[in-house]
Amino acid sequence: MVREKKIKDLVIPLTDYPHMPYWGTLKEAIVQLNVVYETGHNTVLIFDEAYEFVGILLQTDILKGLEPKFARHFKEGLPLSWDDLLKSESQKRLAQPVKEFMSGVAATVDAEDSILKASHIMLREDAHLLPVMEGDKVIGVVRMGDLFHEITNAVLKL
Amino acid sequence: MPLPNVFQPVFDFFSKKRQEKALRDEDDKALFIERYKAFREVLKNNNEVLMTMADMQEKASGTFVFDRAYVESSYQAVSDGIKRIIDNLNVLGNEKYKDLIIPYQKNDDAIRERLSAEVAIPKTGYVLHLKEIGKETVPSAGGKLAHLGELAGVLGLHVPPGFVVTTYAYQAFVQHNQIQDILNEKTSKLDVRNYDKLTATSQEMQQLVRNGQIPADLEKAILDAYRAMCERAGDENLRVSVRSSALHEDIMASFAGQYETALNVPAEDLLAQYKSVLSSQFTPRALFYYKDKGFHIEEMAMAVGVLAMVESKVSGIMYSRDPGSPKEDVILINAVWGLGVYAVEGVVPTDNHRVFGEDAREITREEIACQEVMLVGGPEAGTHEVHVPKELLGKPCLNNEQISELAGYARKLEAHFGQPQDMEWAMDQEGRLYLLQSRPLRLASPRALADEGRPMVSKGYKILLDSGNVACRGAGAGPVCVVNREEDLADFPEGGVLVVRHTHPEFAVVLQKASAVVSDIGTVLGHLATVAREYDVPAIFNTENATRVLKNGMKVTVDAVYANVYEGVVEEVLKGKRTTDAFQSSPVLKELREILRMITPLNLTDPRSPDFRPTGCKTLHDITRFAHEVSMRALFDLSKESYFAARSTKQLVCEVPMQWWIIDLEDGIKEGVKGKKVRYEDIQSIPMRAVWEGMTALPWKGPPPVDTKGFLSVMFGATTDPTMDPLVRKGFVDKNYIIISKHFCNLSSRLGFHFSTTEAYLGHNPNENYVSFIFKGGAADVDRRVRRVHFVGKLLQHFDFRTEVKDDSLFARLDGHEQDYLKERLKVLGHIMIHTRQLDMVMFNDAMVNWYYQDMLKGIESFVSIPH
Repeated sequence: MVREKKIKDLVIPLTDYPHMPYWGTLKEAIVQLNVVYETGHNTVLIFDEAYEFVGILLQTDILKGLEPKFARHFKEGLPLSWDDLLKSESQKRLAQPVKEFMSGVAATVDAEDSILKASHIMLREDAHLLPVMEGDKVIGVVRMGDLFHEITNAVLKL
Repeated sequence: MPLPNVFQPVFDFFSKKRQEKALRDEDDKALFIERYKAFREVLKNNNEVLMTMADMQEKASGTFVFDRAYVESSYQAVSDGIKRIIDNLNVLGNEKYKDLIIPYQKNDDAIRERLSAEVAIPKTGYVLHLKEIGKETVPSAGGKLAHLGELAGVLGLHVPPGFVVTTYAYQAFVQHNQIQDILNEKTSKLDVRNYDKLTATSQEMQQLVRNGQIPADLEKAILDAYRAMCERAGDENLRVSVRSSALHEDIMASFAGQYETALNVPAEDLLAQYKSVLSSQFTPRALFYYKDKGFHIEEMAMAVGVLAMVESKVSGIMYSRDPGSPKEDVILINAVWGLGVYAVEGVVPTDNHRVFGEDAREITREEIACQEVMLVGGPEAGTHEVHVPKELLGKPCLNNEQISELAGYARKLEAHFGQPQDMEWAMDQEGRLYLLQSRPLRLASPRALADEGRPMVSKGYKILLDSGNVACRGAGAGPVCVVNREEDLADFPEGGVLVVRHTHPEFAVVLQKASAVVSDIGTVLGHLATVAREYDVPAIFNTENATRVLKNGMKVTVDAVYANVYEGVVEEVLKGKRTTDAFQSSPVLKELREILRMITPLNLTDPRSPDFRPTGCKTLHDITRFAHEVSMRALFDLSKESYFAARSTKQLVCEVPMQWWIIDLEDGIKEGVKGKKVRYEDIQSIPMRAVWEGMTALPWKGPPPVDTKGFLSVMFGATTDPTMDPLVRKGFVDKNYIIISKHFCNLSSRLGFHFSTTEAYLGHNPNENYVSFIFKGGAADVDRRVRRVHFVGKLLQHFDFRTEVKDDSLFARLDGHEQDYLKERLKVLGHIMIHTRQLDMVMFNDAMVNWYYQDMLKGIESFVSIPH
């Protein structure tokens, strides 16, 4: 019987994934995501000074960070131009540490966990990306897209 | 509750341990200070040796006057300096470089042997006849008579009959009277700049010789030769001239007229005049020249010519060239009535003739003098002045045929000796012409002529650079080749103009091919300058912007006299380029050049070459280069490995959230600071203040550093990185050490997961100054760590550092610069140390490296003043 794939088979190793310390600026995070655009990676993992994993910075976190505060009061969105965006206080926020914008880590998966378990956690937490742990060490991430591909392939073979 | 006795030994043991440890720490500090001092000594002596070598090389160009004492004392300084370098390097490196003594000893022996080389006086008879001698017998017959013999024997020219009393005879005379040691001592102690002492010593020495006794066999040889001459002349009381003929008299033009010549000497005075001429070696003027030109005392041996007196109707001097315009084909002749002394000494106006062209077709009588008195031989002895007979007054001394005949001699002699000649001649009562002597004519040095003759700035040419320090005089032209890295050296073209930002000794390998060297920055006392002078490659250093202005392939002319660089080839600058100065033949100059060949060539150019080791040193310069390089490394290692007791350190009170402990070696902290803490304001270490300025110029970013626990619990396996382990053990984990003195600073820090050491010496002498920097480690994956050190390296290169990257370690260095220049660079290091914390994490790819490079450059440039 073919061994059922585990998370460790799908993990994107940390070395291939953007990460940075929490005191790095929002701008630095954007730069990093900008240069990795072609790889499809869209999240930055955030660590502390002891290389403890402390959070992730999602695209939504960044966009929220860039949006002027007053914009949040407009449900239909704002007639904002690029110039407005750049002139506004978002300039200042670009220089703030990512700690201010990142999301906490709601859930992780273990490298030995099954794909289905990971999929379940993602659905439960509404997450597209999960840090993969080996003991108390982050070794990389697993993406919903990759899980989806594995699962749907298996479905088609049934 | 009192402790039970049973535990007492355990506590004793611990406290003993603690004591031992404290003791060891104190030893450690003492050892460090000792080695630090040794390190300073290496640098100081290295600098002094290089300065002395540069000075010697400058003298060896032949445009300066110096004496033997200069060569000896300079070499002594070099030798002593190198000995001290080796000794101190062995203190610093714990006897690791003992082998340096081998090449040192070998060179030192060879050079000292050369310095003490004696001129052997050939064993000959006491007397040689004029026909037995020629230019090859200079060591026996002295310069003047040897050449006269050459005129007679080889060229068949008319000279008065006579003989020479040899240098061997002089030696016999000196030995017989046992005066050599006294003469040696008096000469070597003589200070020729003190005229009174010079005169007094001179008189004592002359007296010694005049009072000496001529050995019986020498006396007999002289008198026998004289009688034989009388017989041949058919005159039993033949009057003679007794002429000095010292070893170097005719070789070095400056000896001209230094020694005595006695005219019209009768038989009975011959021996006394012989001694008198011998003693003229020690006249104040002659002594001055001997010392000043640096002859060995052993070379002060004089031959004496005894020539039949020509009863001169007319005599004079003749130059085969006009010294004022040596290129012109013209012969100068002057003539006086009577003996030539008046012409030589300029006592009376002379008839002056210029003879142009082949076969003396064009004779210009420039002036016919009105000579009223003349010198003639007296009836008994000596000479006296008489009136010029009335019938000769205002008449020319020579007719056209006589002038042509003399001019013919001049051409013949110049052709024979291969250089312009200065001749004395006489015409007897019957109108026969005699040559009395011929010696090289002193012309102004071609280089001096060329330099004086041309303007500082050549008009009509575009000047590209007009500032800098001349490191080696001369001029050269060729295509520009900008060399930034050693790799560029491979393509260096023959005849290219080497253009560099810094004068790294590694560039020396192409100097043989280079027509000139120009640098932005660099000292004229550095290694590259030394080598440039060694190869005589014109060099201008410190032009500030050569690498920006001069572009590869551009043809330029480098004028390393006035420190200008022109676009294109400027012939008038190049004219004075090389000198083949016939007058640079002084023995001391030759000797200096010979010993420099054993001192200055640099073979150890590449510190990474396997030959870069003590036994790879071939010259004394190699030893200094080697010592300079390894002393830096040795001190660096030492600071890294040392551990100091808490007692000898003070904690720095500061806003940078790291723990800094200061170890003050000497004057690094203001006097009177007590206690365990020190504030930044109390720090007076120049380099430390500069680093600190850089560290605090921009706001601190990020959290306080990890404590030991955090460090050890790293998740990414950094702890398994073996390069990190020693740091943990050596106590660098929670404390950052700064070892300082007024001009020195060694700052070791671990920030996050990288370790860096900055070390600097910033004194008043640029040649002793340096900054070095090591950066290594990190906790991200190896690719990111390597990208970070490349990023740091790129930044440092931008600020003129030389860098080398090995895996995730970076080594950077800058030396030989002004204090202010290095202060700004230290600020850069301070900033980089603090702001690269865990930056390895973000180094996803090269695009990130570039972005951070630009970003940090902008930050740094906001607070340093480094023009780029």
